[in-house]
Order: sequence, then structure tokens, then C-alpha cells
Amino acid sequence: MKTTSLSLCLAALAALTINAAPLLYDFGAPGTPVRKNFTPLDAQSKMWSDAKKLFTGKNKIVLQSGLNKHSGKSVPPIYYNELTCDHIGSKGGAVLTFSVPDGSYNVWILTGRAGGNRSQVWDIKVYSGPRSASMTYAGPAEIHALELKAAARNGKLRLYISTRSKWIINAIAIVPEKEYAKVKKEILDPEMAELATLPPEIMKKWKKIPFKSDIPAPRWSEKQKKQGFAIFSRNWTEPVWPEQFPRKSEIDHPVRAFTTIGESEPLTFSIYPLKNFNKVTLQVKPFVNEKGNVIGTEQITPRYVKYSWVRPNYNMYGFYYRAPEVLMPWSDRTLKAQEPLRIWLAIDTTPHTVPGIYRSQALLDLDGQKATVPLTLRVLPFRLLKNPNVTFAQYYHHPYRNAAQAPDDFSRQWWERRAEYEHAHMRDSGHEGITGSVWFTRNRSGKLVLSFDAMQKQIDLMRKYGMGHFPIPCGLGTGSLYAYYMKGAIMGSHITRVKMPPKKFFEDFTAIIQMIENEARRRNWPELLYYPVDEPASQKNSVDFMVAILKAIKKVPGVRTYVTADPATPAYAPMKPYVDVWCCQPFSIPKAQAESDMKKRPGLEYWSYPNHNSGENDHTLSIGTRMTYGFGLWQSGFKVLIPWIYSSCGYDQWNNLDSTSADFGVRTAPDGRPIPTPLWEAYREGIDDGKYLFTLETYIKRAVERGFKKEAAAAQADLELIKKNIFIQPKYRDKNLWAADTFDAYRWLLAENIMKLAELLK
Amino acid sequence: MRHTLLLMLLTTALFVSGAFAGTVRLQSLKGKITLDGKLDEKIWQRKADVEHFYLFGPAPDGFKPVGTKAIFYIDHHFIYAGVRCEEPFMQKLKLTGKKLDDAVWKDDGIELFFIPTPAKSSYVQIVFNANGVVFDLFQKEPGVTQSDLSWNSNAICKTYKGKNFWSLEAAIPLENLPVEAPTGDWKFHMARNRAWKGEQYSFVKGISSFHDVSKFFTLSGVKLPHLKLTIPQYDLGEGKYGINRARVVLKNWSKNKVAALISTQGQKHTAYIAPLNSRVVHLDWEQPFDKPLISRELVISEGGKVLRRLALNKKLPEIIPDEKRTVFFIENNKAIQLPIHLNLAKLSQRDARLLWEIKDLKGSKMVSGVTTPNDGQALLRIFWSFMTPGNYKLRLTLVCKGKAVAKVQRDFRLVNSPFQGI
Repeated sequence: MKTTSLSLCLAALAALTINAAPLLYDFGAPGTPVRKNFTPLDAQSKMWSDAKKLFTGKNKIVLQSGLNKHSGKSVPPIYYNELTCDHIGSKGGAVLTFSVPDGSYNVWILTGRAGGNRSQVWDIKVYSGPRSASMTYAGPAEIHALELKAAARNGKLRLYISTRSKWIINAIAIVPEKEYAKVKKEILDPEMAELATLPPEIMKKWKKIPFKSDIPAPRWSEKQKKQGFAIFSRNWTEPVWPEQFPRKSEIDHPVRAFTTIGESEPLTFSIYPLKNFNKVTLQVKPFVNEKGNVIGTEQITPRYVKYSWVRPNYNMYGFYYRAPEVLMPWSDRTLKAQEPLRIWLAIDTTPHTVPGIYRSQALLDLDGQKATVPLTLRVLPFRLLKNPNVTFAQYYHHPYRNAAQAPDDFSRQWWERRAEYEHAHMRDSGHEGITGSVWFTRNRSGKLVLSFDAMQKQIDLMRKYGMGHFPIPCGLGTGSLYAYYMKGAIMGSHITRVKMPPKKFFEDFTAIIQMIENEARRRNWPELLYYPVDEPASQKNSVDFMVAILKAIKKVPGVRTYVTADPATPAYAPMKPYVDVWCCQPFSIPKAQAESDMKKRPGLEYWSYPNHNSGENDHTLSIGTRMTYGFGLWQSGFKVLIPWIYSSCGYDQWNNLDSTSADFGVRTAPDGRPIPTPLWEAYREGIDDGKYLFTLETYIKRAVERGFKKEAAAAQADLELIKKNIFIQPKYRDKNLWAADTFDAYRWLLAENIMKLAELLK
Repeated sequence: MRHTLLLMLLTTALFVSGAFAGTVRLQSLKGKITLDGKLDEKIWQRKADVEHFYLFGPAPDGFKPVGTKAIFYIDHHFIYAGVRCEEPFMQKLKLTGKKLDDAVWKDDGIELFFIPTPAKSSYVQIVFNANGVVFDLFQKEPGVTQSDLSWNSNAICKTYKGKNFWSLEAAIPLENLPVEAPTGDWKFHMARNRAWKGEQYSFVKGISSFHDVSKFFTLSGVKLPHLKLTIPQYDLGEGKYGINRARVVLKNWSKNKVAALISTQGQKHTAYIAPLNSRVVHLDWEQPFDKPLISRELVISEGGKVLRRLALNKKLPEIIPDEKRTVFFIENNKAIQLPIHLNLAKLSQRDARLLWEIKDLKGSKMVSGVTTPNDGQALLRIFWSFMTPGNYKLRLTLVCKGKAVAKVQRDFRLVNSPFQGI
């Protein structure tokens, strides 16, 4: 293929040869590669009808990496194969008719990996009779398979395709219902497995890192053997790996937690299957307390932990392993023998939740076998208080940038709605700020161009979600202005190539900062922290440039600067007088020094980006992340945690191996809602640990003020006990930390003291 | 389908012959080298094995690349490297490393990476600065395990500084490289650090880091027919207090029985390995309880010649580490299972007992017991039914072969569980 005549012949043949064999079509342009087992189908086929301006897209199959001239590093291409290298699509509806014998069929539709515009949001809905399947996804690389049941009548099976923006189809399989399981297993699932990783030619050069477990196989009970599964419960901070047995002590361990009014708390348990299961369903009953008060199912979010192929380091190629990574919204699951499935319930209490002991049940159905998992949630009679002196924020790729470049209304609104969901998610998880930027450049005629309105829109959204008071680390167009004054030169990665620009560059920079500051005050923006360069190198030319540009910024009265560098590095000493906010890896300077420095110089602050906790390299350091965000931050003296980054996705957000950097952080559902990770939940729980600490500190102060000195002293002694028992470290990962349940023991000690003092203070 | 096949063939061919694949052929040494860094022997006068280096990172304005050329040889004992680095600004060389394993990768110098076990991807990194100071490490699993900085190549390096270049001659002993077979291609990478200028070069175009083993070149021409014995696996043991068990796998590639001598600080063991066979050898060694520094060397020799020196150097934590857990729950007469982790080697666990005793703050004994360690921990099962919330002291004594080897006392707090009575 692919010529129109041949396609006509095949279509005619398909119409004449009525049989129940599976039909596998590879959509695309004539003359492009066709996948083995598949028959080509192009836009001229008579199988199309009522189609509005079908288009055909194609991409080259390239396996060799290119070169990023800026970084000098290799950049893999988006990998296409014969199925994904071309597609047929439209901005409107279309009907596809297949000539097949009457009967029931399963339809499998491959859609995605279109290449092109990163801001395009693809949307497809396929109907057959009353049934439909749909998918919405963004960008050039994501790929999805839709499945749909369909019926053929009078020798025809029709698929009605619609869209709210643009749809594309790469391939379709029409399979008689009875044969579908076999075809799926032998053809379709292997296709999807390849698309979810790398082309076989590349993959065979990668090495799988074997998983090593120190947990021996349990002795399964007769009941477990008979039903073919066991239920176990592990502290949520400890990952459940795909090739790991449960510990004996975890099997049938109670699933329970305590929480406060207006808090979110995870309850997790896992299924260890001793055999394959085709369908696992889950139903979680409402929680009911001893007085009949209810925490309804609308306050319960069921998820499961998705295993992903990941890399050991975000920019490392050639090695991979499988790790628990994303908290997917619950849907019916299939289970593979010996691969545990972790179920993760987020239970939200509201300000109106009545304290008490709440009980519920998770009802599981595994291919008809029922199992009931009792759940217990104790809601404590107080609300947590937030320490106003510490803030949690995120580096952030703003969806508004995509919205501004979106090719159609649906795409634009999808990005805007996604931004709203993400802001709400950050707010609900205790975050109060994000990064921003005012980009500027001088065009060829020397005219200054600034992006005030784009920033205004972002600030409006921040304010809507309670982030309006956070001082915004504000990226600037330093590189662009440097190029203007230095005849197109680049500063290089981490300004390693920077040369000292002429005096006029710095004068202009000061004038521009003054202009931004005037506009910021006119528009009543939050404070902007001027952030001229990210992670400057410590070599002399870089530091000299930094000193000069920071001086230029500080010439504007009242403004503060923001530098991402380690203040403990001696080479940065010349910058110190001009840096107001240092943001560095945690926690590079001791608490006493941080507090002393900040006390001596008003305006000076120490912030930290704990990137080792964000999933940049290891997606499973939940325990260290909880420590960093809670007890660790408490004993650090740092004021803000602002990791890189809320969401980092290279090509396909569901394929960790396919781009320059591995994916990490929050992912996005078809409707634009965020899909969190265990590490994100560890942020949230660590923040809650900090709230328990601050709440008790506040109650102690109040108790002292009210004369309950003895009781306050007892509570203070417990705080000191915890403080004494923290393994203070710069970076908390997964070693040399408290055991998982020790966190909860100390949190409970705090809660007990809070309740005692609250009773006194009534 | 025809188109498909053709395109597949084309793309495969592109990949295989692409910029990221390549081979460096190692030549056998014929003649002698005087290690003085001068590259004045005739053998260094041929066309270089490696001479196309790419800047790692973006090129600055007016970037002027400097030349680097390298020639390699191998004989029965060493890999030899001769490297000439053009440097128009010799007076600016940055040279801070003074002794073995100083951070000379920050200096002007070169870096060599070898994977002598292509099936495994374990690699060694050997860095020489322009003064000939060496830094070396062994990386067992890239990106997964910590680098073993205690590994030493025992490489010898001499350098020479000319008017507008510097050069080095290095001999890297094969005996310390983790070689696994007498034949078969290795993997290789070479980089140059021009530190004073902030420039780094690699001969692999587009490599994402110097440690990106997926982009290493093939190193062919490795033939070690004299190599009778290799050590495909080794492990010096847990590296804990007490009796540790080293495990060494020896592979005999020859057609004769081979006797290997394995020795460690006064202990010797001779192992006989059948022709073309492998043998696992265990050797027990003891780390005294009063010595928190391990400095253990295992030497494997054959026919009076050292094949490999394996080292384990580390500082040990306390025998009974403080896990900072001080709060425990009382819950419905259930036993608290309190795991006490011990830095005690497994072989010593069978001779050990952990004696424990709980007292209240007035010194009254509440409960005591004896627990046998297993799998690196002693599990205390404490029944709280007779105890009340409050502060207590836990005294732990580790006894090994009848002698108390560690004693600690921990404060702890007992509180009602959030689920007590539920």
C-alpha cells in the first residue's frame, strides 16, 4: 500500500469476503509503512462517510538521537513505529463502516502520538449504537487505546466518530467478541507494551535492574491458597514493589488511621494475588461513627498505585526497573499472579465532620470471590493550625503558556481548566505559591517588549486559589537582553559561558527592573523576587556576572533578589551582600546559622528546593519526603520549600523512558485534573506533621498565658523528646530515618498533648 | 509491506552505524615503554586510536577546540595509555589534586572508563590530572549502587609538560580490573577536563554524562590468553562486627587444574579449581567488637602472582544503633514487637543473645527477657498488660560467646494507642 486503487480493492475484498476473522487496520497515508498483521486504510477509502475534511498526518520513523546544540547532549526523537507514524484525523465527525458478519464485536482504537503542536489537545469519542469510548489528551506524544463493544447488523458495523477539537486514529481492530481475549493477548497488548516503552531495537540495549527483596515468601494459609489472594496492609510511606511479598506481620493487619477535622488522610491496603484475576472491583462504604455520623463516599477518593518502568536517574539512559509511581483513579483491575496491587484511599474530613471512631468496609470482588476489608478512621476533636512562618510552593510549568498557543478553543479552555484544577490541588495540599516570570526582550529596533499581561493572568489565578500573598520568584529575560547587547551570544548552561557585558547592559537591566517594579506596584501584585539566572555556576566569570547583575537589580529601591545557589559554597561569597533569598538544596546550612543570619539581616531568607524528594530520580522516597516536609523542616530554620517541579513530563507522560529526562511529579487525567503520586501525598502528610507541631506549640503558648504552666511544661517536654530524637541531616532520603510507624507514634504524641491542652483551654 | 521492511532496514542501519556507536581497537604492545610522560617512544608515533573529541556542553562564542590524541596498548599485565593534550595556555592549568583519590576530576586531566564485564555494565573510572595524580572508583551497578571509592586500580601515571601541550603515559594493571573472561570485547569511554577553561570533552558525541554507559564505545582487541583465572563475582561480606564471610567465585579458563591462594591479614586458603570450571570459595574473617573501622584486604594470587586485591574500608556504626524510636503504643493487651537492629554479622548471631530489661524512672524493674538475634535484628516481644502509660528505661546488653560486647540504655515513652479499646 498505500494507493487508492489498492485500498479500494481491499475494501471490496473485505465486503465480499464475509467472515468473522479479526480485522486489523493501520490508518495513514498511501505509501507509508504498514504494521505486520495490519491492513492499510487511507482517507480515500469508501469505508469513510459523512467525514468532514479528513486529514492525514505522518512522521518519520527515526531511532537515532539528535543533538541539543545548547546543552551539547543527545536528545532522543519521539519514537514512531508503523502504527503510530501516520494517522487519519479530522476537526469534525466521521463515520466508518466495516463489512462484517452480524454479531458482537470488540473494537480497539489506537489514537495518539501525532507529533506537532505541544498545545494541541486531542479529543475523540467513538460511538457504536448506545455504547461509546472516549479519550482526551494533550501534546504530540501520548498514545491511548480505546476499547468498545459493538454490534454488526445487516453485514455492517458502523463507528461514529466525534470530537470537540481534533481527533486522530492510528489503527483499529474489529474483533469478534469470542476471539477478542486471544487477539488482545497475542497482538494488541504486545503493541501497547511496545508503545509504552521504547522500540525493540532500542529496548534490547537497555538493561533491567533486578529487584532485590529481603522479604521471604510467607506461608500461605489454606484459605488464602483456596481464594487465591491475601490482603495486607503496609505503612503508606513504604512502597509496595511489584515483585515483593508481604511481610508476615502485614497480612490481615488492621487498616486504620487517625485524622483531625478538615484534614485528608490516606488509608491503604494491598492485594497479593496468588493467581491471575480478570476483574477486580472495589466498593468503599461510607464511614459511620458510633453516633451515626457519616463520612460519605464523596469524601473518599479511591485510587490504585500504578507501576511504571522508570530510570534510576532522570537523565540516565540504558537502565530501567519497575517502581510504584502514580496514584491512578480507581477503575476495575486485572491482577497478575504474584504482583501486588496497592489500593490507596484518600479520606477527606470537612470542617463539619464530627469527631469520633468511624468504621467502613472496602468490598472487593475478585472474579466473583468476595472479600471485605474493615477500615477504621479516628477523627480527633481539633483542627490543625498552619505555621504562617513557613511556606510550601512549587516550581511550575504554567498551563496558561500552552493556552496562549492553543490552536483551538477547546484546547485553550482545556489548558485553562487544567490550570484551575492544579491550583486547587496545590492549595488543598497545603501549597501557597508557585514561580512566575516576566519575560522581556529588546526587538531588533531596540524596542522593549514585556509580558505584563501574561503575568497578570497568572497572578489573578493565584489569588483565586489563596496564593496571593506569596512572594513570587520571578524569572526574567536576562539571556535575551544579554544576547541583544552581546551580538547574539548565549550565556550557556548555568551561565558558564558568560562574559561581562558592557555597562549599558546593566544600566538597561536596572531600568527594566524599575519598570517592572512600578508596574507590579501599580497592579498591586504580590512581591516579586527578582530571579535573573537559574543555578549560576560557581566559576569566576559566572560569579562576577552574578554580582554585577544583582547589584543592578538592587539599585531599584526596596526590591529583593532570588538566587538558586548554595550559600555554603565559598565561591558564592562575593554575591552574599546582594542576595536576599537563597534557594538551595536542603538543608545546606545548620538551623542555628540560618536563624542567626536571618535575624541579623532583615529581608534575608533561606529557601530550599528538595528535588531529591520530588521524584526527579527515585520515585519511592516517600519516607524521606515526609521527613523533609514535616519534622525535618521544623528543625531546619528554612522558611520555604519549593521543589522542582509540580509536573515534569517529556514526551508521553505515561512513558518514563522515552525522552531526555524521565517524567516525574503530578500527571494529568483526560479532563485536566491532576493525578497525584505517593511522593505528592508525602509532601502533604509532611506538611500535616508540621501542622501538628505548630498546633501544639501554639497551644503550649496559650496554656502558659492562661497559667497552666505545669501542663504546658509537660507538653513542651514531649516536643523536646521528639526534637532530640530526630536524625538531623541535610537531605532525608530513605536511610538513617525513623521507622515508618515511628512518624505516626510521634504524631500521636503531639495529638495527645494537643487534646489535653485543648481540654484545659476550653 | 515492502516499504515497511525497507524503512526498517534503513533505520536499523542508521542506528547501528550512528554517531553513538563506535569501536576502539586495542593493539598488543610490541616493545618497551619508559613511563616518563614524554611519548617519545616509536610506538606512540602512529595514528591515534582516539582523536576526535566533542565539547561536552554548549560551545561559547569564539570557542576554539584544543586537540587531544590517545593511543592504547595492552600486554599480559597492563593496559597502556599515551595521551597528548594540546594546551596553548600551559601556565593556566588547574591542578589542585595532590594525592591518590583527591578530586582530580576537577583538574585539567583525562578520564578513562572501562567496562571489562560487558555482560554486567559494572565499570571502573580512572582519572589522571596533568600532574599524574590518580583518582579511581569501581561502579558495580550504574546509577543504583554507591560508587566504591575504596577500589584502587594501582595505575601508574607520569606526565610531561611541554610549551603548548601536556602529555601522559599510564600503565593500568590488569590484575585489579574486574576482568571476567580472557577474550571478548570490553566497553570504553574517554574524556578530557580542561578545567581552567571550564571545558569538558568526550570522544562520544552527545553523551548525556561521562558515566552514560549506554553510549560507551566497544573496546576490541582484548586478548588475554595467559589469563587462567578470573573472579567473576566477589563479596567481602556484610562488613559488620563479628564473623564476616567473604565469597569469591573463581573461574578457571585453562585446561589444567589451577591453585588459587586467597589470603587476608594472616589467613590463607588455597582453592583448587578444575579445568574450565568455576568454584565458590568462602573465607571467614572477624571484625573485633571494639574496632569500629574496617580495613580489610583480600588478595587473590595464582602461581605467586597477584590477580586481584579486593578491599573493604568503612567506618562502622554502633553495634546497637539508636533508632530514635521513643514512643510505643499500649493496645488491648497486644504485645509490642520492638525490633532492635544490630550491626552484627550473621555468622555471629548464633552465638549472640540480647538481654533486655525495662525499668520505671524510679529504677523498679518492670519486665526483662533474653532474645536471640536473627536476620540482623533482635525482636523484643513485650507484653504491656501490666504496664501503664509513662516514661521508662530500656537497658540492652548484647552478649556474644558469653561476653558482653555492647551495652546501651534508651529512654522510651508508653502511650495509649489511638485505637486502644476499639
